[in-house]
Amino acid sequence: MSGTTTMTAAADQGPQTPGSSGASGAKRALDVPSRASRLARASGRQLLCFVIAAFVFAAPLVYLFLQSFKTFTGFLQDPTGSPHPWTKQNFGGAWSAGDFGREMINSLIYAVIPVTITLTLGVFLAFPISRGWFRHSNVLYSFFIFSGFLPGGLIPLFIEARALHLYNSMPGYLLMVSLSGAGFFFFVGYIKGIPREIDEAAALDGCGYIRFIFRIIIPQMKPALATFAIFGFVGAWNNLILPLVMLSDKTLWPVTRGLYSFFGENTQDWPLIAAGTFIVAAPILLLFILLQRFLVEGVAGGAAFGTQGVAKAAAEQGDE
Amino acid sequence: MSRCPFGTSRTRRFIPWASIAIPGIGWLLFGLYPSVATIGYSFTRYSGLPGTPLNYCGFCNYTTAFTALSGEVWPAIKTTLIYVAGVTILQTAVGLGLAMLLNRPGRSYTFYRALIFMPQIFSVAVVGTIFALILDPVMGPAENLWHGVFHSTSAFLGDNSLALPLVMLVNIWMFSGYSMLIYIAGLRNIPKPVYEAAALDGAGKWRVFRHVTWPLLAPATTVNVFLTAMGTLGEYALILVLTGGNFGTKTLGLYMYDSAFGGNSQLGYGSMLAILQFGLTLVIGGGLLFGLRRREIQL
Amino acid sequence: MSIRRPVAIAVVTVVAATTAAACSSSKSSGSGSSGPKETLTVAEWTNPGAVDFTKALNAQFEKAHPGVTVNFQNTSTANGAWGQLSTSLLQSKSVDVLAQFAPTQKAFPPSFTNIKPGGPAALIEAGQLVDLKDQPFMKNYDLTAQQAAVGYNGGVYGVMAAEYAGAGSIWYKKDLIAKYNMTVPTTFSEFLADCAQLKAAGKTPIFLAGKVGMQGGIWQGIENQTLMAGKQPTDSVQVSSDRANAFWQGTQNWNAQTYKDIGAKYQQVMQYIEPAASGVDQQTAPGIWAVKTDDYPFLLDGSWDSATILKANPKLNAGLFVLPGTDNAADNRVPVKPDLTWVVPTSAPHKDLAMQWLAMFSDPANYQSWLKATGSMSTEPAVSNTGTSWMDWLNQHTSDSFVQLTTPWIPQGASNDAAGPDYYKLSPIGSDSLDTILNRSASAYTKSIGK
Repeated sequence: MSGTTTMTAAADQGPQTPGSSGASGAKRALDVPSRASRLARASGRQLLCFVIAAFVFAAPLVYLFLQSFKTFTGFLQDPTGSPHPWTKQNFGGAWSAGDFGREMINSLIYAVIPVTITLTLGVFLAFPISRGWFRHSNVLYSFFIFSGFLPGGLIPLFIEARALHLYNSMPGYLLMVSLSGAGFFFFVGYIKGIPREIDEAAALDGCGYIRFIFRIIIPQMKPALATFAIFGFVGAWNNLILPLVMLSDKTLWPVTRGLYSFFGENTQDWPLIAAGTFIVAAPILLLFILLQRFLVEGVAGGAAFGTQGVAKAAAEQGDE
Repeated sequence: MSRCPFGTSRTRRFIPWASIAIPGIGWLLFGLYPSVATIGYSFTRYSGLPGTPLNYCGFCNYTTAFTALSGEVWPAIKTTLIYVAGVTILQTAVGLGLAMLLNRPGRSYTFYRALIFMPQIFSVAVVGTIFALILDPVMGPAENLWHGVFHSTSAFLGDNSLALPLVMLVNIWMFSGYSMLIYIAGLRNIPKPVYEAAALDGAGKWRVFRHVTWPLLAPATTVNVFLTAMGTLGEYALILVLTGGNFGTKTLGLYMYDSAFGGNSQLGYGSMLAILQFGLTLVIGGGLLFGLRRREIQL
Repeated sequence: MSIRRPVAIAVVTVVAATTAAACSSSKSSGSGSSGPKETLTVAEWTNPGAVDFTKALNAQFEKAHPGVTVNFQNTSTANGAWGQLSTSLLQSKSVDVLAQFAPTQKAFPPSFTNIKPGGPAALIEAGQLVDLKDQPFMKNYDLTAQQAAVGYNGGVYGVMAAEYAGAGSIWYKKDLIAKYNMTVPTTFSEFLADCAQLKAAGKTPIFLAGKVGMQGGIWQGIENQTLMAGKQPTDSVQVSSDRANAFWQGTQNWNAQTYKDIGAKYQQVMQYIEPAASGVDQQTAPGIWAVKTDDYPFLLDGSWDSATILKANPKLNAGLFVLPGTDNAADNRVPVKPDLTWVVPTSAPHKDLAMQWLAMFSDPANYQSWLKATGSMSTEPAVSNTGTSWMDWLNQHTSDSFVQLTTPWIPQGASNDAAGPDYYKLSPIGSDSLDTILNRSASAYTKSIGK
């Protein structure tokens, strides 16, 4: 929490706020040349950063986005130019062709519920290990880490899901995804940073274990959890193969599953594909914009190690 | 070993076990079991299709991979190593550069950081789509740029010497925001007084970086190098959508995918390659951790 | 503090979503009251024309069989999605009619090779697919072609419903070549002369998607016609298996003179392709080709892309012919490749319905519109794809077409080179010379069979 406030406070003093520079400038009139050169350097850096961020990192995404406003023939005749005529019909077409409405809701369920459960279970898994309550906590820890690199097995997982009656059912799918993602043992490092004295004090006060985790530990881990939540959500949202294999009923499909049929039916209609892509990506973009400020803190707080673990696990599930 | 302070004297012993029971069982069921089964499949010629025989064959797949029969495994390992080394070094360098540039207060910098971080929230299929469009030699904008600079044409992803570097660049484009973030986290952990002392000594910018910042960033470098290397070792989805593994881009991960799921669905052989991949990951991961930790101590 | 808002949003959405899901599930279970209800599951990979047709056929089937709903599953073949879907449907024993790529006879190597079949061939060998040979609707099809595609030990384990002109098939712009007073070439020399003339006129004669290896079609076209020269069309399965045997016995290999000649012709054609073709993706090639009406007279692509080409430029006057690979016009026949094949798994819960669905599919009127939608060549002798203007040349050349030759048997784990020349490495796409490539393939093949 304190990290958030410092960040926002710092943001207010940022070099690009023109009002503050005017006021302080009057006080230090003598510094004018150096101040001017500093300003020049600051705006030079601003410019450089802008160019890198916009022209290297954002431009390819914008390029795809622009395509979605073209007609198919307009695109073929002038692939690199700006759209003429502009059309919004690709978005409408993609939306109705893919039955994206219901699929969006399903995708939200498949992303939010498992991420919430996995994060909670992850804390329960990580806490005793990081506190060293087991005889060989370190061995357990390294075992978990290396098991994360074991190859996955989609076909055995599928056979198992059928045997356990988890196939083609929303609760079954949620159960499987929530439990298989127990990769949050990477919280271990983060929890080690929370002083042990808190445990002792809470226990002396008669605070129960579960209540302690929910009331004391989880609030302390907010940045780490937010970071994980973003990666977990993105991974679950982009997951294609697992829903493809586990959910055969159309009413259960997430949006990626629909998108894949849609892609196949319109293989070469790039404007339509671009529109479909952005419809599917819009919720993640929104979530990212809402939570992105926590990312830096989460990573700074030691969650870095785990984040990749989640991203990797999610990616593995998604790609197999 | 320390003791759990929670619960009564009777329940105290069980609380830690109860705490890890549900996630632990879930992991055994849905995480470890499928992996172990994969190891099992690697000793068969199983097609992966229901109702077809397992065709147990001992170490047949392993001998195939390591005898003269296979001309694919060794080149794939070589490509993987080039890919991993190239992406790891470049992405870490780019991440460091971006972190040095963008570790500033201010809304605009927050915005730039967000833009740089954004590519990785899109799925690999989307990123593949974008670059297939941009790098198309007949209708992509990259062609116009290339023609303007070199006055010639290029096949980009269809060029035997350009394809692998280009796939590596796309990989770096996608994930360098992450490396940047880790370095920013590292920079914020460096106490201010250290810099003030260096400034008093009259050290120039480069010297401050060389002798203060870089050594103190060692833990962040460790994390970046390790994570990037581990992440790229298993990469195949991005390569698949960009080049299909052609033009010298067939990594071990892609070869595995191709064998297990492409065309003739030879799950047994593909599983063996997955185990090889795991072995390679262990060796490289272990080596890196050992080397990086030693470096941290020396710095 | 600011984390609270997204969390609240998330909670609201979850609640809304669960209620919405509950609503929809109660709705679907409520409709079960109207007598016995059965669901027939049909699955195929996504191909624009095929999916539209199948949807229409399903509607027709539901109308003819009250109380039956058709559950239609499809997904793109990209990223292995289709393979995963079909495996999981088979595994769950819930699919009745399933599309598979025709295995052809190459997929069943003799037992002395000790090669285990994969894909649909593995299913057939393990008795997982129903033998359809005696089904009444099979009378509509040409039995020889069906046996070549999905036959095994006298049975026929599927309905091969689509076959395409693939090897060496070339789309052309009728108006553009008419401008240069050309007609469809009938010999290899004539084709080269046409290309030379077009190039001299400032055109780039051939467009193709080299990134996915479409250039292989030139090689395969020439190879098929060369190896089939003087043979009956029905001999093609025998020619394939003779070659496979000769390779396995070591009496023939990739560095034989035949392949050097084929390779030399391949390289002659390749000098007329778009210079940057190796970076062109199949996802863009037909569209770009179709809109550039004044250039690229030829596009190397299969007949399956008709829907895309016509969608990209409905006004284009296009046609399709097969590259004449030899200088004897009579030998330049059309190799056709068996493709989509419907199979019925033995685990299918509704076999009778599946047979009725296939019977409806095979009905000549329905099959005719299937051909139109997919651009496939007909596998029913009584039906032909006459309504389509781009198929005029093909329609005149279907009578003596033959089943495309298959490659020798390749053991698992063998290098790709063993299966023939690597078109990505062979110049002009790659930088290796023809001799290097053929010698590499020959030694890789020899190694792979352990000799």
